[in-house]
Amino acid sequence: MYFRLGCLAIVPSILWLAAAPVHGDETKDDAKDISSSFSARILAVTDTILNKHIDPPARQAMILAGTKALYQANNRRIPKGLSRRVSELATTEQLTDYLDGVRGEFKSMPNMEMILTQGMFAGIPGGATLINTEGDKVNEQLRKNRYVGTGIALGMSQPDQTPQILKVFYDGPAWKAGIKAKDLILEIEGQSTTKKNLRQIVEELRGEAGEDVGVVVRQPDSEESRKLTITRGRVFIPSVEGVRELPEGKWQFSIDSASEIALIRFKSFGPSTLHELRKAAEQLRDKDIRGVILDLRLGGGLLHDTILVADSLLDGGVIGHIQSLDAERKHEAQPGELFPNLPIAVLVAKQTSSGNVFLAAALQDNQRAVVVGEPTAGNTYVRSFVDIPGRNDKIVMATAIMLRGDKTPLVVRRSGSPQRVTPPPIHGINSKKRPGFIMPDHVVANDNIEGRRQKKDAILAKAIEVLTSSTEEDGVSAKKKRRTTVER
Amino acid sequence: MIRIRLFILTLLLTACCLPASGAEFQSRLRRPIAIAVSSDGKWLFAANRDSGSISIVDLPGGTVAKEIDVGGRTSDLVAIDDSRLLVLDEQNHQLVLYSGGGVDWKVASRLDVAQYPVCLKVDRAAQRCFISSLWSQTVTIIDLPEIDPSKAAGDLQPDLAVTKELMLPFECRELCLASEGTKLMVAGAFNSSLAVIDTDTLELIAIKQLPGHNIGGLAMSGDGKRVLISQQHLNPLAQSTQDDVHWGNMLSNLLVSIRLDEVCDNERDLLPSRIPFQLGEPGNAAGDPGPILVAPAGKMVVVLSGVGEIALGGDNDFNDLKRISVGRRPTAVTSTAKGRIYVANTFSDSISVIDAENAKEIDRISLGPLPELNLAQRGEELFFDSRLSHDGWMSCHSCHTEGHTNGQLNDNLSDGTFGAPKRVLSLLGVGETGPWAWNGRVKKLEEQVSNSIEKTMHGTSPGKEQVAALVAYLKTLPAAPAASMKIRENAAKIERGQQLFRSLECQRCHTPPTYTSSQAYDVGLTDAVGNKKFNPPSLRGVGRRKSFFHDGRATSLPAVLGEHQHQLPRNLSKSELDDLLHFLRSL
Repeated sequence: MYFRLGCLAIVPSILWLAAAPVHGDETKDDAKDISSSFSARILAVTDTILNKHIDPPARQAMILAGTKALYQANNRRIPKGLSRRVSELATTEQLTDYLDGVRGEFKSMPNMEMILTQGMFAGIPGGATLINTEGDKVNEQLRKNRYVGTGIALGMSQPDQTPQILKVFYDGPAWKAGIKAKDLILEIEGQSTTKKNLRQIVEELRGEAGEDVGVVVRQPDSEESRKLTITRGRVFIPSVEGVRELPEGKWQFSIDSASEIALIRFKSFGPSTLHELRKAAEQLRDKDIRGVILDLRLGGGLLHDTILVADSLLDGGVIGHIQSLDAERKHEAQPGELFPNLPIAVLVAKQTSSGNVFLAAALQDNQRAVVVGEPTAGNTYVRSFVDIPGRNDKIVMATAIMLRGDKTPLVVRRSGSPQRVTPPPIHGINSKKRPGFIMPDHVVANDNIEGRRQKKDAILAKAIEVLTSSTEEDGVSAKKKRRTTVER
Repeated sequence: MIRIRLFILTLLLTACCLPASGAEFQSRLRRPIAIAVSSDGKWLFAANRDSGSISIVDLPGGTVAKEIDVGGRTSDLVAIDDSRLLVLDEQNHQLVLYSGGGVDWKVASRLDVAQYPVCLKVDRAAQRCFISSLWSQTVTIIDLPEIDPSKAAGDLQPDLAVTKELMLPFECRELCLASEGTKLMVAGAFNSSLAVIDTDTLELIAIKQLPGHNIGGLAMSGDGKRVLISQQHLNPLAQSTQDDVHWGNMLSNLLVSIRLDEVCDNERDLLPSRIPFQLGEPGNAAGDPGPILVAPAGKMVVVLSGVGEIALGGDNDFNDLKRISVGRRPTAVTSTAKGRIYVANTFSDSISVIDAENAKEIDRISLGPLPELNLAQRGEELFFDSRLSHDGWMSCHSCHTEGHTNGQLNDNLSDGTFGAPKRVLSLLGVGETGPWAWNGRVKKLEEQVSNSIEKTMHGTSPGKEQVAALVAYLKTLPAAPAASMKIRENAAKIERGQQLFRSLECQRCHTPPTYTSSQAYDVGLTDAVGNKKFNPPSLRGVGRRKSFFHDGRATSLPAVLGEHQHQLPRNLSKSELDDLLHFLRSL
């Protein structure tokens, strides 16, 4: 957990509702829970999943999967009749007795509870993770772009094992204090950093807003060390990026090789994303832009903010539906759109997931954008943080599914292992709306190893080609007929 | 009523042309809301709303030279030339023409105009003036007479007469002349409607609807090709969370530029050419943008009324606006050719003088001593103050425009949940229509006020005194005037409609005289998160609403009773429906 925070810069890009891996330390924290025994804790987790998951497996199936994981982790053969035995557990007493037995059998095993829990989660549609309260606080700050800290990304410089600053966030506390990228941290609050690991360093740098931390740093190729004071505060981590970061903290969005095309990469959807996108649009307004590419291949984020972005790009129309256990909500865009009159291409790939899928589908269905890339993987859910009664942690899991405007689901719901949904074959698909997938308008089988080695981005290249070759008429015909007046 | 008004008028006429006092000005609330400068740049005339007076400021001296009482409540002022001033009196529903010059002015003529006149524009040839009247939804066109300065003050000059009245489908406020004065644009006072009037034929040629609400300023760009609009946008998809407020996702303050030719053409969509600029930024928002001034030498000013600032920039480049602090609630701006900008600070009773070149306030001229404010007056100041909200994004007025409603949907916690945006309710007459919130759970208006500031605007928790002041102000707001201004002509229908209202038992929930009641009822409507019980909104002013029910699902009053059959025990005949609608519109 702490190491991940050390690499703060990179974390937001891989968060979808900020899932963090189950950690050994967290299991120890769980043991501090006063009221609950081992079996009660496990049953609380299964109860929460049964109550709140959009498509939960049976309790017995979760417990069986967890038990099997313990046998496998111990390199032991799974006993004959285990499945039958678990299937026949019916009452809370029987389940408690069974779990107490499992605990007795594996009590010498380190991280036993964690392995059992992870085993249970592996079979749940959309997966699940546990997150403790402290981790959630930091994750929430990140998700909502309210992270309080020094505003740096840390690594260890290799030969001499000195903490090194990989990135200084523009206009953040460290930036304002005069910290430069590549600075080696020699001292924190008068204490030498040698022989400390990254986790300790991060812990020493972390603190509340308004607090000062004194550091001594130097550039790797310089002998001169600098003594600086950083006042911790809110760090803004951009969620929208362009082609290249300019020195004044802005991004260049126009592509070098095709300057009339702008590239906007979404790292993660959070509360600041709409604002950043509007600013990008203002920045591009004076440029002679003929088309905009939105890269939705990586990242996840908050669904609410993804919907706000979809709204901003659509001039009316249905964005899609969110189906939860309690309700199905239709989301509709308001009149007015960013980049009016400009064609948009959206980049998707196998790994495009969660809200990005929802956004790409909304833009495709409303004929606002052409979709370029690979078919998406079809295993994506809306995930939420759900409190587990009696425990001080939360479970992150699928609580809703996304539907397109015409109610085609954006997930393939099937029993068994949901992580291994086969994308449809690229050829021979005649429907863009096959349930669960986004079929690009221009399919590009990219991201093969060869392409990556040559650092060629075939999907981006195709999108540039599509946008530059589209004539004026194409651009107009791709747009839906506009209303002359807007009814409210 | 009219006879009474004429009587008051006659009384006033005998007294009002005398100067209020000499060099010593009395302590009273003035609240300047409109300003004009004489062509030689020597005099500034400020129309004071609350004192119903005109302050004449000696600009070189930086002091008030004289104050003239107009009477009533002034709402706008234009200096036609150096010998004629036009003033609107919102309270007496009159246009007043003054003749004179310098500090000496006398009433030349008064004219009754459509009720609640709020904005005044004079064409470039100074031959015609245009008046928007808020609640009567009317634009009045008046041909201006030549003045005979030899006539005595009491002698009304008879040739000030209404040329034409045009009814609009919305309550209107801001006006702007375009295309060499051949077009007049009229903006909605609450929602973002725009109407265009051809000033040659005096016909309505276009009506458009823009996204957003609260148009506070309307002006033409320097090249005359684009319309500049300052306004706000409340996003029903956003929620009143700290995050959505902080990043401007929920409510944004905009300077919008659209093409004039598209505004004037009913067949064309103006959205493709609409360019919105975000005013303010996270951490330093620009709540309640007001009037726009496109000044000589390529300068442009947007008044940021809610945060007590103006934003100054080039009339072609809005990306780099320089913000300058002025007094409290600036609401009017004008300039001289010499690069001076003047701003009326309504709640400071002062005029800010800005050096446009150096973007600095160089003087602030007091219009007279301020008395101690009573509770409701302090409440009014708070109501329009965006600094009550997180980072200055919005004031109470941003959603409850002038105490009424912006007609939009907002997803806030006043119904206890996110996910079901609700219609913003009018606060006109709100002091009598408890309980509050859509579910009727809030029994004290004080509680509702605190909730709005803390949970929707995300401001710091207001003190008891602030809440009491806001509540006192809200209680001074009368219900909106009835939509139907022809009550006498339709008396028989209204009477039959009222009987029907009783016999259909509408009054069980919508109980006179406030036409609401204290319970929450399940009337077969469910919101997006499953709430079923709602407190009935008051029906006073119901004929003015553009959308109905909690989520605005019905878009006309006939649809409420027709398509939605709202709580009707039986089908109504066509004439019964007509009677009932006439009654409702008379409320």
